[in-house]
Amino acid sequence: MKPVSAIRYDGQSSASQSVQLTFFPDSTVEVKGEGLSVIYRLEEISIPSQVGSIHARIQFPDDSLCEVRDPRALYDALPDTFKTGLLGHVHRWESSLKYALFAVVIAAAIIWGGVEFVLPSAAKQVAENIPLEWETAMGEQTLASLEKTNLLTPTELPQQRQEALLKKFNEALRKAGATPLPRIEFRNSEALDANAIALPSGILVFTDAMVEFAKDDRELIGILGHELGHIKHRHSMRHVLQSSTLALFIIMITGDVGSAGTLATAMPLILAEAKFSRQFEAEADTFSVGFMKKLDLDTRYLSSILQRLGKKYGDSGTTGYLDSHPSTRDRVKSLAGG
Amino acid sequence: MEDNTVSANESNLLEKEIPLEFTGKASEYFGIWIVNVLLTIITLGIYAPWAKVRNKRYFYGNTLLENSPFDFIANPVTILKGYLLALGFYVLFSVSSNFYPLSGFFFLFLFLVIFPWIVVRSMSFRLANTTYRNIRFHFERDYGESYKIFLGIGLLIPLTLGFIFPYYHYRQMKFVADKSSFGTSRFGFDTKVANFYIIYVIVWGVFVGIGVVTAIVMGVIFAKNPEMAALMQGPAEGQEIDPEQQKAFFTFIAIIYAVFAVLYIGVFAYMQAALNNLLWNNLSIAKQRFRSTLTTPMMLWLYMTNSICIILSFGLLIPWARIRMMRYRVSCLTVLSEGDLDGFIAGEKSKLSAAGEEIGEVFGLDIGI
Repeated sequence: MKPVSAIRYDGQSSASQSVQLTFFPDSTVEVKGEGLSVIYRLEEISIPSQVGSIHARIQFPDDSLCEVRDPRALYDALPDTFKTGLLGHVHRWESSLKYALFAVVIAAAIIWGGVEFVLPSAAKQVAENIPLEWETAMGEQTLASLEKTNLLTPTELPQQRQEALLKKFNEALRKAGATPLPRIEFRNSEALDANAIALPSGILVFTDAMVEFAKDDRELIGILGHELGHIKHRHSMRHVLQSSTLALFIIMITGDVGSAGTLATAMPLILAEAKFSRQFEAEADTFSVGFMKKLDLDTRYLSSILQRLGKKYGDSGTTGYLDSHPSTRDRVKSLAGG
Repeated sequence: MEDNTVSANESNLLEKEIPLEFTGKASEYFGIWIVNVLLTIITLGIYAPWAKVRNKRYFYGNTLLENSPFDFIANPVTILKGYLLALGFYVLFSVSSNFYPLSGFFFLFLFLVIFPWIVVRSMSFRLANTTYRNIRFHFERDYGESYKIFLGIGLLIPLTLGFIFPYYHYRQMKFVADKSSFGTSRFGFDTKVANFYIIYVIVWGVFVGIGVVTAIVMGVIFAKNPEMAALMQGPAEGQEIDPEQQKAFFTFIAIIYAVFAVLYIGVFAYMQAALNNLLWNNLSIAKQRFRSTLTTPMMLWLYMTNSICIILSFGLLIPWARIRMMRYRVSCLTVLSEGDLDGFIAGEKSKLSAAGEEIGEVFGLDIGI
């Protein structure tokens, strides 16, 4: 029954008083100081779970409070049944180097597994259960805003060429059993140059430069298969789901004290988004291989145009962590393998 | 002569310097932080409010003024309710703005309208749960004033092309400080708007200067190396790219980015230091004043080294970075007190446990002070 030193504040003013706390076997505690001696029952007092080695806080029913600078001494003096409140499991876990290192490993494993497997497959499940028609407004408004900002301007391809291509595309799509037929649009774009994009709700946009860049229309069928892959695998919806969930998690984990700097918190999101994008591109390439096989087309048509596009835009040959697409070499390799 | 000496001595006798002390340790905080992260992930975020309370208690409890610690006494369940409300808003916002991009404007408008309310709520919750020597801080819930400043003056910012912003910032800081109290003693914030304009004019000047210098440097470099200007435009049709030249070009771009990053963090560090000093050096309560001596070079050094170390350690040095920053901030703060700190009286009990705490700290927003 060694007394524990504490500092008492009566809750009325900021003046302090040194006191001694004595814990008795009958579950009572005496607070004793100059001109003060009060006895409380232990079930009346509350002690929040210990954090690090900061002061222990004992709150009494009369709004007075005792701060104990040596939480260890308080822990030793408390009867066994009241100890768990003070030094809970969490505190014990936090204080052990061994457990902390264990926590690092587990947290890293969960984050890796979550970003690599759980999040993508959960997003896939959800996306596949959302009807494509729900994206209609999203697709229309995205196209409209791309046009409004002049990223896409009206096509300058001759009417004849457009019709011939559309006919070829639709024939291929029907033959491969890709119904309902996606909406295919031709647009001119200085910013995107030779490119094709799949917008939400299944709007496919081929740029004029892309159509002109192809040496053979069968190459464009390969590109069509790739973009169709984005639609069939619901990549725009999955992208939205994955990014917003991940952003929420990063805010939740880092948001408590915002001193880490914005770059450090934005970095993981940027890396993860690039990774998701590469996964989608690879998936779309695989889809295109199947699409071309159904049409009895050689996948080399797709490889060939991808290689030339890579050369034109100075592809580095290796896939980096920040790249939105796998490197052309990796893509061509997996096209040949598939 | 003699008169001067006497008055100097007098003021020394009247005003005592009480430095604040920070006793947190990175190694100890690391354990708390990593367990917080792990439990937050495993519980899909439900633990986040408990993590927040433990985190704050660690920092408050290690901040000592005249050997007495601060404390954070919030109930995590109350914070959880606020988080769930914010989560609902976030989900509603992401879903509808993705399916109907134009609805984003509606949410932006809605957020603007409720923002002043959120500020008051957050401040009130945060201060009511912050204690020192068993006395609570308090924030007066003056919604009218909050709407006047955040919505009223806020809407004038685009109309005045941003020139009213320093005044807006001044009113914000004054609002937050003037409505705060410790026990029955009100805080007061007394400074001239001009001091805010000085800080912002310097920041604006630096940005304009950076723009002018960059334009000149780019102009000189491109004039001397025409092929670089060509690379900037992108390759012409059929033109092959020389890998050597491309490498030089990317190195050049990387250097430009690095210079900009340092300048940007430098401006940010200056604003942090200057605005923090401005706040504390003009804040008073009862017979106490404060002195804050943050410096821009030290803040810049801390921000840069912290960011680099956090990235290189894959986030594992976040606890170290936070402790380091807090230690510096606290070490720069001194209380100038006439007499001791025993004279503060607790506010009325009914005021402290004021109703409506159920919504807690909506959005977990950390503003100002």
